[in-house]
Amino acid sequence: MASLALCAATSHVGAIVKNPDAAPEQSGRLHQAWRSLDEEIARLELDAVVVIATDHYETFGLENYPAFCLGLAPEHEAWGEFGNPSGTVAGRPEVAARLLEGLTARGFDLARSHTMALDHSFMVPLVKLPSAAAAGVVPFFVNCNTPPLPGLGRCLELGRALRDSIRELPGDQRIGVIGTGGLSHWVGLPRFGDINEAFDHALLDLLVQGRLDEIARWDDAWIEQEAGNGALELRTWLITAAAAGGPARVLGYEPMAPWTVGIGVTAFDVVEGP
Amino acid sequence: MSIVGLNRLARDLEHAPGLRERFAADPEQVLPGYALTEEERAAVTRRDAAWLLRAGMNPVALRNLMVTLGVAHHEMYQEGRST
Repeated sequence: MASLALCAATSHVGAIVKNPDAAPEQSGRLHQAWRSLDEEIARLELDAVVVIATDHYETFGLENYPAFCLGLAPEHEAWGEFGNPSGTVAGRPEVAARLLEGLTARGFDLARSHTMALDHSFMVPLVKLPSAAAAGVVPFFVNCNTPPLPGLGRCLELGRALRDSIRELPGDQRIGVIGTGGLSHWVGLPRFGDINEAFDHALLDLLVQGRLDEIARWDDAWIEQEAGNGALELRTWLITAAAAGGPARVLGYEPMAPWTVGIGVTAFDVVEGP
Repeated sequence: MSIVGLNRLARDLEHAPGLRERFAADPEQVLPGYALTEEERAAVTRRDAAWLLRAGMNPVALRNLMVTLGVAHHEMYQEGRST
């Protein structure tokens, strides 16, 4: 039986790599958090990492916009949009195909793409966590910005189904799950640059306390009002937290004004059993 | 609002080789290829993020469009840009 060996989540704004040394004290603490998470990933010698992220109208357009989509390419190209990381990432199409089967059998009939290119929501975390990229990646897209969005309760259930599907993989593979997005930020809106530190702490506190059901009851209109449209990406965190089943350990949090985002980096304790 | 036409335009301007330069030289050489209303074309030409947002364009797609057209993210709604 395969194991779910690691669950973690991080913000993904491009400024992390484009303006890395902004507010040096704050950014220094965050870079240290990513380094320690990367060391943890390296120690675990993972066979694949499922990266749960989104897209910003680079890969998906309105001609065909899935709620959830798994990437099954042997190699995934990065867009390198707006100066974000470019290049390619090794895929894990056999793992992805098994997960697609497992999730479909559990009532989550996801879309799949055999070519899915990746934007900064995948690439920035993979640059900061090179051990995850080296393990090989199953990209998992979640619609976080084109309403109607998949419900938070649905994301919670999806995370649990993902955990079960991972453990059902053949052999003794060690699989990681990394969610990316948030925390509070406003994209393409007049409030661009605002950060709601209180919201970010409330979210992190609930994750630390394992109170996922409470997060899942939040209303999207309220999240958007309080923490911006970018905070709707907390879906990726919720899926990851639900897959883990245990409390979050906050490795870093900074309200990064020069990056225009509340930046969080967490790992989650993975609970054995259903 | 013509959300499909606007999103296609934003993506093409970002990715289609040479299109940005053609738009910069003369928007009217580019815009007729997209199903947009006269008002929408005018708003794109004057890079009016506030109008496009009010009319219903997705803010993420709008950000891509504005940045591609040379308006920085933090300048999208600055005084003098808004209508």
